[in-house]
Amino acid sequence: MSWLSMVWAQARLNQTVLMRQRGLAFSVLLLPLFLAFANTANARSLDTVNGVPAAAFAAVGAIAVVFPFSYMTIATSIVVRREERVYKRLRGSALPTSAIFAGDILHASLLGAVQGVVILVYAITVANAPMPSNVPLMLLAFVLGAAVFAALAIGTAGFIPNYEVAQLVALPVLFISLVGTGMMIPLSALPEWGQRVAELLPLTPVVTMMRTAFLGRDFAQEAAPVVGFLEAFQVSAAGLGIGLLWIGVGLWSTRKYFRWDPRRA
Amino acid sequence: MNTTAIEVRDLHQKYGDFEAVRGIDFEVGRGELYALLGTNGAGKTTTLDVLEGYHAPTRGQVRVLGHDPISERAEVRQRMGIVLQEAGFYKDLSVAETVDAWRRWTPRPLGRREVLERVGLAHREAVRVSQLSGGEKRRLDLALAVLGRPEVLFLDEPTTGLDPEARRNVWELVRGMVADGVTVLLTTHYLDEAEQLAQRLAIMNAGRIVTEGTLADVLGERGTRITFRLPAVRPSDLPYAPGLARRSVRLDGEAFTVETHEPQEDLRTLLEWAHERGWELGGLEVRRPSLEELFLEVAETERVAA
Repeated sequence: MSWLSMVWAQARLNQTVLMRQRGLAFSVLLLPLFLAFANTANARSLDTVNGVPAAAFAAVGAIAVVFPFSYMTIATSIVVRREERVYKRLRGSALPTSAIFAGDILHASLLGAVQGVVILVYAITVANAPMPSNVPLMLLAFVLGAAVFAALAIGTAGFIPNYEVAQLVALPVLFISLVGTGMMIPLSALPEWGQRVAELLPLTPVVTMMRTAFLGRDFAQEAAPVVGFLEAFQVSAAGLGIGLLWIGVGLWSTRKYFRWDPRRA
Repeated sequence: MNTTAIEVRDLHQKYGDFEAVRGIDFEVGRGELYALLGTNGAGKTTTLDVLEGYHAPTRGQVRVLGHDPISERAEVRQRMGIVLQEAGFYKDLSVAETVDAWRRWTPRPLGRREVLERVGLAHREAVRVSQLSGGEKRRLDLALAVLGRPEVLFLDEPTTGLDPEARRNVWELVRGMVADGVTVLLTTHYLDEAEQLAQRLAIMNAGRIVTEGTLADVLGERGTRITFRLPAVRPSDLPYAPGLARRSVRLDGEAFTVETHEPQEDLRTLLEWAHERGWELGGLEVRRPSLEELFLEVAETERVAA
């Protein structure tokens, strides 16, 4: 039996289990879509926000929302399985540990991908967003976002005591991520240091990369000049670096704080 | 082929300052059923945790099928089945969904029907796990443990909380596995369970193995018991010369227990002695010690020593 088929079995099981937890299923499956529709509803004009056409700005923001929800999916399922001692049973089965993690990540990422595609299609067909000009960069941004938030979810699960807290923790993660991307308040409204901090938040580089992928322009520069296909990757390198740094933080925290068993009373 | 399935050498296991296992050794041969007996806190589950690869030993070495269960996990994880004392299920799944999910990542799994029939749970297929009784959950535990046709089966108190009929069903299942050549390491605090199933056993107390061997070995170390009631008689009145190493006399109220390695001789002496005096030995019994008594004695000896 191959490792991949074990990973697939885990991902599939996660989905079955998720569908049985109605509250959580509603949150992680439908909320991102509602937020996306709400976010893009006002954006059908040809206005620009910080130099980005409103429709594209909103579409990118709507897609990026998917990642904090992946965080919620993964962190919650880790905490539930740990506290209910399902992990103990899983680790005693034929499954390698890596397949358990990989199954979680694959499941949350596939959900995110489906949601992302739905939002993208909606944004293009209904909300006047343009076709992405650099699809490979778009995919890279998506994979980066999925990886960053999966690493953070696994890395922070050790601090989360139970299911209720897991869902609460996801809210500030969502909120801080969104502020950092400038979707809730324009970053230019923040003081200089606030802008620097915002640039380092985990979702910001993903959003910046997606904007570049959408519009083929480099928004790091004042006039947001048009960039070519390869140049778009070049200007995204710094963002990729920030993303990788967050993945590193998640992995480090996982090594140090991840727990398979509930804390002993 | 190596004939040793499980090997434990000088195993120590510490949790913080608490040393749960304090240096134990044993071996289980292939196809053998070995029982670890002991009260709660004796160190049985800790020993299993190490063998199952959940914790690295603080000191010493364990081998399962010749492999280190942690560093060589890939070699053994598909060859062992584990019934944990306390492990959760996905409680919103049905019995059938649970077995199906496990079958997807188990190489050469038994069929869902087949495994559920083996543990007597086939009629509960459609029921949610959260609605199963304690005994039924235990049977599902077993079903998942034997699903992958394991070579080694670890059973941590597999019949705790089961009614007598369910216990006998589990025993049947375990006997069947042993008959098929599966090696079983079982922990229990039911003495009759070890008596029913185990070829060899060890009694653990406070992190140590205090006695080990076949049932006959373990019982044989202790003498046969002659018990009777006799009012107003002191132990020194009995017709036994004092200070004999292979005999002991205990009095509890009116109840005497003579533990001896020469039961026939001692019994003849006793009967003649009582006959001459015209006394009746109430409730006279001659028997091997039960595991129960053995167990209490071990616990008592340890308490005195401590």
